Formats: sequence, C-alpha cells, structure tokens
Amino acid sequence: MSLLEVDTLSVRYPGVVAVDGLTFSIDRGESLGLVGESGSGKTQTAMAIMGLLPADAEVEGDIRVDGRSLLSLDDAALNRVRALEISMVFQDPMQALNPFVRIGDQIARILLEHRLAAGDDASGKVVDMLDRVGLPDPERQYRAYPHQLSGGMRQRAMIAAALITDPALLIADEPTTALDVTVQAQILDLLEELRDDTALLLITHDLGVVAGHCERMLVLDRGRKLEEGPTRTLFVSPDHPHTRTMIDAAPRLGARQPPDPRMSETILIADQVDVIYPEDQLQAVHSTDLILKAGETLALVGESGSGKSSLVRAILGLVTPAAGDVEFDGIALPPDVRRRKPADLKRMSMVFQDPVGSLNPQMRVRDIVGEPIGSSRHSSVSATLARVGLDDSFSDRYPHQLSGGQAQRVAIARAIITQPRVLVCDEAVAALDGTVRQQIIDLLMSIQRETGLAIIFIAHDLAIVEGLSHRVMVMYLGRPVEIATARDLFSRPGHPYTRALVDAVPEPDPLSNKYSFVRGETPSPIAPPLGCAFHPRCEHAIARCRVELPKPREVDNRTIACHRYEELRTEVESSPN
Amino acid sequence: MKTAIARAFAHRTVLVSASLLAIVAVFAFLGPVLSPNDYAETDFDELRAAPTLSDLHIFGTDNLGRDQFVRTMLGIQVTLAVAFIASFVSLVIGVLYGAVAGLVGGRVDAVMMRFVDTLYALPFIFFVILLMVAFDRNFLLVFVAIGAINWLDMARIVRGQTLSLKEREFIDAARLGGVSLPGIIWRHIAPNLVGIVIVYVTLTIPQAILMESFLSFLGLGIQEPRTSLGSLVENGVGQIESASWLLLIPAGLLALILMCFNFLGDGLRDLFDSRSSA
Amino acid sequence: MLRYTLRRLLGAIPTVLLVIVLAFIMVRAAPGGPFDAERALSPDVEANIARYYNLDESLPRQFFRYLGGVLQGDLGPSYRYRDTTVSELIADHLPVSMMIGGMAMLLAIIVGVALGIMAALNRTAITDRVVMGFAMLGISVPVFVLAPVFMLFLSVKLQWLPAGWSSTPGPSKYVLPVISLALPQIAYIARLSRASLIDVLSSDFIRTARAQGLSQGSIVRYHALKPAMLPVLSYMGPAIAVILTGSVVIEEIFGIPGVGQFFVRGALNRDYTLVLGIVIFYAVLIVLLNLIVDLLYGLIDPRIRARR
Repeated sequence: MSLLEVDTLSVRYPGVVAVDGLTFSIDRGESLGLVGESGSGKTQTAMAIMGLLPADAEVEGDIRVDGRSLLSLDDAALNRVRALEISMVFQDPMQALNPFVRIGDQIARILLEHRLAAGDDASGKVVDMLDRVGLPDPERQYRAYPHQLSGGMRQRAMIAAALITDPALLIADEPTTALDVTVQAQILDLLEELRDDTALLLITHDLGVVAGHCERMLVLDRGRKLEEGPTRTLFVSPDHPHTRTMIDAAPRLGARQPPDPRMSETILIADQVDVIYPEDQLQAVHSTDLILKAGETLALVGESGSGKSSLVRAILGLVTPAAGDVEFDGIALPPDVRRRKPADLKRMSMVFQDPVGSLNPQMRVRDIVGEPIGSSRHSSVSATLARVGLDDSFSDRYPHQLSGGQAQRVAIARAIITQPRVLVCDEAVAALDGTVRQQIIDLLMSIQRETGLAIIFIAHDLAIVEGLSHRVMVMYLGRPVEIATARDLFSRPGHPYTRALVDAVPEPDPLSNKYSFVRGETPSPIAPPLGCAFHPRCEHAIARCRVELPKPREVDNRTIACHRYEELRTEVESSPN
Repeated sequence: MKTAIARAFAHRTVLVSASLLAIVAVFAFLGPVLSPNDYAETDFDELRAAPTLSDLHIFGTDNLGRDQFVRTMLGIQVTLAVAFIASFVSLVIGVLYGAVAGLVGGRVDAVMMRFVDTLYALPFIFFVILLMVAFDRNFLLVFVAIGAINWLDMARIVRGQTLSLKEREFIDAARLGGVSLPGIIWRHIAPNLVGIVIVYVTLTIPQAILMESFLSFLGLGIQEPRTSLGSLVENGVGQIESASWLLLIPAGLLALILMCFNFLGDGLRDLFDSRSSA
Repeated sequence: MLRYTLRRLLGAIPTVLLVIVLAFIMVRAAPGGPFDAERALSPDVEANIARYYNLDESLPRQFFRYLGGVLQGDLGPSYRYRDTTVSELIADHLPVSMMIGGMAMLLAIIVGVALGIMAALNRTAITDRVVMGFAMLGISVPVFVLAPVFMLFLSVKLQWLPAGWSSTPGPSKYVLPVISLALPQIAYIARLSRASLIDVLSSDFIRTARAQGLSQGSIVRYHALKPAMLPVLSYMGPAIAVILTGSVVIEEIFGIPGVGQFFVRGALNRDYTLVLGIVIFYAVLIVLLNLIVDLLYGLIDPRIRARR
C-alpha cells in the first residue's frame, strides 16, 4: 500500500473543471514532481489533498493516506492528518506566515495544538528546528516577526514549521518561485537534506527543479495527467508531444549558442548614473555606465535589489537620476521623460513584466496600440497588430479578454509602433509559461532581425538570456560586476557572483549534478556592505575585498569589478575540473 | 458603461433600494403639488389630528394644525436637496484634493495628507455647530459646512487610488509614448477612478443626510416655517405622548431613506469590487 | 516603541493648536457681537461689557490671552451663565456625560465585536443574515430617531423604563440613553469586525494554519483575532467623536444635565464662550483619545513599530 493514493480525483468549479480524473500515488520516502503550466491543476490537486479547497469546489474520487480515505474524515481527524502525516510549504513565505505572530510562536502552536510538546519543551524543539533549517541565531529568530526576516529566511522558517511534526509526506507548492535564483538553490538543497524518509510531492512549473530533486515526475495539462514515470526516463523519451515541448522550452544553459557580437556603432550611452530614492533612503544604482550598440541585444542580469530596473528607468527618464548623463546618438537627453522631445521618445520604448498590468483596463487594444502615434484608426495599428501575430478581431477587445501571451503581444505592438531603435524589455517574459515564453522571445528576435532594433533585455534567469543576447551585463546591489560578450561570459564567468548565478540555474537534466552554490542572500540596498558588496557571500573574499571597492576594469575583453579576477582565473584554469 | 448600468440593475439590492428611493422622491416632489393643503397654513380646529382621509390629511396634522403630509414631503425635498448638494461639494473638493495629492506625490502629498489626518481627528460636527452659532443659522451654510466635512473620506480614497494607479505600468507606458500629463489624467487615471468615486459618493449622501437632520433636530439647521425630516422628528418628540404619528412617520421615512442609500452604496461597492478583482 | 510614542505625542500638539485657532477664528469671524441681538445697549454699557470680556483689544491679543487661559485650563467666563466660568460648567456636568458615553462605548465594543465574530464564523447560517440585517438597520437609524422611538414604546406605551431623568432615582434611568447611544455603534462595529474577520480568514497565513491542522477555534484565537481587530481599533477614534456627538442629542432628548445639553443651550443662546470652550474641550479630548488608540495600534501591529 502506498503512502498517498489519489484515485480518479476530479475538482470542479461552476463552469470549470480544474482537475479531471487524476490518479497517482506516492510511496514512503519517495519524491514525486507534479509539473505543469499555469492552469494545469497542480495546485488544485495539492489543495484537494490538504482539504483546503474553497467551498464552491466540487470534489469527486478518493484521496487515501495509509489506506484511509481523507474525504470522509471529520474535521478533528482531518486536522490530525494535516499536522502529523502531511505538511505543506507554500509559494510566498511573506504571505504564508502570520505577520502578527512571532515566528517561533507560530511553529510552537502546532506542537501545542496536537499535544506533541508543552511549554519550554515546545519552544526548545522549535529552536532546534530553526537551527536545523539554517536560521542563524535561532533563539533570537524565534522571537522575530516575519517582516524582520529576508525572503529566504522566511521560507526556511516555513520549512521548519512543515517538518516540526516529522510528517510522512511533505507537499511543496512552488516553494522557490518567489525567491531569488541563488536562494532558490539553497532552499531546494535544504528540502532535500532535511526530509530524510519524508516523502515529497514537489509542485512546480520549472522542469529544472524537478530534474534535480524528484525521482519520479507526473506531467499535468489542463487538469489531466499526460504521463508519469521516472524523471530520467521522461526527460530522455517522453511519450507525449506536449511533454517534449515543455522540456524543450525549459530554459537551460548551453542549449543555445549566444549570437555573434555585433560590431556596430554605439547608439546609447549612460554615463555614471546614480539613482537615489530619498523616501526609501536608499541608493539603487551607483555610478553605473551602460553602452548599447545598434541592433544588439544587451542582457541586464541580477537578482532583486541589483538596480537593473532602476538603471533602465533612469535611461528612459521614468526616474530622474541623481547624477549622470544619458546620450542618444551622441546627444544628451533631458533626464526627465516629460522634457524629452516627441522625436526622442519615439526612438526608445519599453515592454513590462506584468502583461495585463501594463495595459489600461479601460482601453481597447486598438486605442492602446495607437496611443503612442496619437491615433487608433491609423492603418499602422492593424499592421503592427498583424506583425505581433494578432488579427483584426483583437483590436476591439479589452485587456481582461486577453491571455497573458496575447496581452504581451499587444504591449510589444504598442512598443514598436513608433519604429523605435531601442526596446527595453523589463522581465518581459518572466510571468509567462514556458511555451508561451519561447514564442514571445522568438517574436522579439524576429522583429530585431527585420528592423535592426537594439534590445536591453532585463532578466534574472541566465538560461533565458544565453541564447538571445550579444552582450551581458551582470549587476549586484546597484553596481555592474561584469560586462562581457555572452560567449565569453557563459563560457568562462569571470566574477564570483556571475559564477554563482550560473551555478544556481536549475538544470532541466536529471543526470546533471551541480552542487556548488553561493551562500547567503543579497543584503538590503539600504545598508550595503563596505568594500566589494559581494564579499560577505564570496568564498574568495580576502581582507582587501572587505574594505576597498573594486573599480570596473577592462581585462580579457571584459569589464570586471573584482580584485582577485586574475588570481581566480588561473586558479580555475589550473583546476582539474 | 452600458454594461455597468445593466449589471447594476441585475443586482437585487441595488435595484430594490434605487427603486424605493425613486418612489420616495417622486412622492416628495409631486405630493405637495397634488395635495389641496399648504405647508404653512394652520387650522386651529384640527390640532394633532390623527391620519385621516378627510381634508386629505393622510399623515394627520401637527400641533399647529398644519398638514403633516405636505410638511413631510417638503421635509424630504429639503433633506434630499441638502444631501445632494453637500455630497456634490464634497465630491468636488475631495476628488480635486485627493487627485492633486496623489498625482504630485512626494512631499506635497505628505503635507496634504498630514493636513487631512489632522482634520480627521477633529470633532467636525461641533465645528459646524460653532459655525452655525457664529453665522446665525444661515441656511446656505448648512450645505457648505456638511460638504466641507465629508470631502475628507473622498480625498483619502481618491488619493490612494491615484497613487496606486500611478505605479501601474500602463502609466509608464503612456509617459514613454509621449502622452502629456493632461492626457494621462484624462485617459488613464480618471476612467479608472470613476467606479470608486461613484461608490463613495453614494455612501457620502447618507452621511450628509444624517448631519443635516442632526442639525435640524437640534434647531440649528433648517428654520421654521421651512422644515426637514430632522426638524419634523424634533417636533414629533415634543408630541410624543399625544400624537405619536408625528414622530413615527418622519422618523420611519428618514430611516428608510438612509437605509436605501446605505444598501445602494454597499451594492455598488460589491459590483465594482467584483469587477476590479475579475 | 518609545520613539513611536514620542512622535505621536509631538504630532498631537499641532492638531490641538489648530483646533483652538480654528474655533477662535470661526467665532470671531462672525458678523456682529454676542450681545447684538438683544435690546439696544447704551454705548457706555457696551464698552463696559466689551472691556469685561476683553473685546476691546486687538484680535491677536485676544487670541493669545485666550490661548494662555486655555493652556492653564481656563476657558474664560460664560456670556450667559454670568456667575460661572466655562471650565466650571464643564467640570460640573462632565461626570454624567462621561458615564453615559463611556458605558455606551464599552457596550458597543463588547456587543459589536461579539456579533461581528459570530456572523463571520457562521457565514452560511441564519445568524449571519440576522446580525447583518440588524446591523444595516442600526447604522441607518440615527440616534435622535432611535431614542425617541424607544422612549415612545418602552416608556410611554409599555412603561417599562422611566422617561424622566431628574425624577428617577436608581440606575434604571441610564438604560435607555446608553442603549440608544450604543446601538448604532454596535451595528457599525459588528459590520466592521465581521468584514475584517472574513477578510483575515481568507488570507494566505490562515490557509497555512489550516494546513498545520489547527482547529477553527485555535485559528481564530491565535492567528485571526488580532489582525481582525485592527480595523475596529482604528475605528475607535471616529467612534469616540460619534458618541460625543450622539450624547448631545441624547442629553437633549432625555433631559440629562450633561455637557452636551449645555452645549446645545449655548448654541441656541449664542453663548459664544461656552460653545467655544466646549468645542475646544471636546476636540482636545478626542485628540488625546485618538493618541491612545494610535499607541495601542503600534503595540499590536509589529510592522507599525518597525516603520518610521
């Protein structure tokens, strides 16, 4: 008998079938990855197992733990199962932890509720657990409120809460999606390390995560099981074409060769830009230079707090930089977008992260796309819509009538209708599912080929960036740490932080075993570390790194801000690996 | 907009309360015209007559023998007029103030909102009374005073909404598209404010009614021989032992009107909330 | 926390000053003096009166003289009650007002919160509908409608409770005034706490608590109650103002000799100093109570303490 048996489970809402006749099981100690794109029903399945579906959900089929059906249990019995046999870790630890209760008390409450411990014994157990999940100074963190912890630390606390009762099954629903890449790797590793004989049901859209952490996987599509099997087998020879598409669309390093660097003239220069947000008392960008050549794609990579978005917003004039200049074709632009001439504005445009949020809900597609040219009736509106793959029937729709991918096409149409020479894409594909994401990227690339558009592509995911960028600029805490052609950067990352980012990318390949990852998290930009901002997390840091800020230098065809680049370069080359 | 109206009518609470209000309003404005009686004419033979069909005193007569039906209808007229005008005043001030604070943002916003917070802490109704005392119960002042109080909520809400709209990416897109500030306000911010403003205006109206009738009840609002529901209730309290209908009818109508506006506002909020979350 | 407290304390000072300035200007900006309406006075008498009330000085001088008095708790002489000062009038008549207002407030919080929680936890049941229907009625019916209607039925018709104040000994005379004053607030607080608890119960951290196998009771007690009560707490400021306002009509209707009744009399008699004094007194009271509410808020919500 398996630990968990899900038997022809269906979850229906009025008018929608979320899960459709799903059957699977998990054995003790086993790890199963539940994979699918948004709307595939993977979270609904988890909620059904936990008995957490909303009241209007209609559940059919059966869910058994140790042969006992959960659907027929009363509340008290179900509560015991939830605590003692199945635990769950949620996606966003900021939302999933109670902001009004101390971290330790929230976890201790579980022990008290189920009479697993009492009084000092309970708090002692919680402190031990907090220590095990890697919270530094656990006794102090016991008394901390969630907002006083970083994102990664909150997720560690969440894991502590899930494992404190030593459950037989742990369900983790997109446990790392809300976290930075380098932190994601740490959390996944922690889960792996702590769960021992606890079975794991890992729910994710990210095939890289499944490949590295699950023995078996199950692919869901629109509520139905496409296929199920050992992860290794499925990755090599999937039965279903959709699985194949998903695996192919999964971003992976080394899958696509970066394009050749462009030898064209420089069109855009940002010179020593500072961006300061006085209200938040922080400096987001520190004296940063950026150069963009005609027709090239420059990827701007970094985690949260790196200042990449602030830098491009300063270039576009959406925030006024505290210092520094922006030049287009050798002529300085006014720092504020309101002072820029219409002709200047037409030359640069932007596509945003949230496809729906970047479109005014009260406007029709036609009016949205026509706004930059001041007319929604112009023939170029439908021509541009056609160019992004939307026919005329879309022009009368409102944004809420569009899918994510369609909305992003509309946003691209609005951005290119003025025939700009520079397009800034700020995490423009981050919110999209794998297959849609690839289509949008292909669309951008084909527009670039046709029009010679230069693109600044902001992303946190190195694997996406690799195949499409000519050059890459990596930022950390408001400063560039490395700028190089994509070829050079991916073949030999120069800065320890670049290497950390490369190492953190989950590989959609069950056979790869990457194990090195960087410790810690990006500190708050309000109080950046002295010296090299990366030194607290850098395994190569020496005394000099702690006191002296490394200046960007030109070495080996790249710009790099690391005191130890030369030493580390030889070290890497001489190592047997 | 058409669909919004259609949806509003499909909402039962909204439909019922709007219809009731319409009926009350029609009676209030047509009743005095159709009735043979006059609001100020006293009939000392019929003091405190109970509701009767004779002479069409369907709500009876008051302690001065005046026809209570006509007086009540006039009272409703005054009450509704004050409420609408005062709400309009608060709408204009609130939307302008809130929109400016939200649009300009930064330090200006901080100062403007600090001011609103300060005013919030004040017992406004007492200031209104003070004002009424100082300016000798000037009728027009009632409108202004009530409107001038109720704008605070509106200002806060509009400001909050404007600030969050300003952060939205479609505003950035419009700025990059070279849309001028008036264009951004007109095309991108204003249309997204309409819903919430309608809801809060609906909820401001009962506030204004409450305040006006409170002042009139204390004898500080509408003055004799004109009347409002508040003054009628006050008069009814005086006759409580001999002629309870003089209290119960205006009191019931006042409660009904207030309840309809509250239900209407609640219903509209439901509608707009479900749309914004959809 | 200490800094937060200090900040709030300092923040209250300009509010209080603004109150005094505004109230003073309003009264002085009025056309005509306090004694205009009555019979014509000889210029001599008028000048004497003016001197007595310092009306012959320049406006700023008068203001600072008044402000100086206010800071020492002296609100000046009453124009109508010739032998007493405004401060004495307030001191004499405050206890009964505070008694009624305080009891109404307490009743409103306890019953309102209890009803709100009950409704929120039984959303599909009849309880919710009944409580919410009652609450809508309660927020829609003004105090000055409720009180006379209660009086009509419970005192005049059924004679269960006394209607007169001065003629009744015992505590039974408090029942109607307190309930009339409290009911609308009970209704408002019930609606507020219901909506707030429902909102909190739908948040992600409650889902976490459910996933941890906590019972509904534990979830409400340990996770939901505190955040759900925050909106109720921040309503306390406005509630105090509403109760004070309501006590004015309640005292009028039931003939209770409280500050509110003197306020209305003063307003109708154009007793400027009395009205001005009571407005300032009430305003300062409300600002102070708001300050306490603010501090409590900071005590409950850890995020507020962290900010600023």
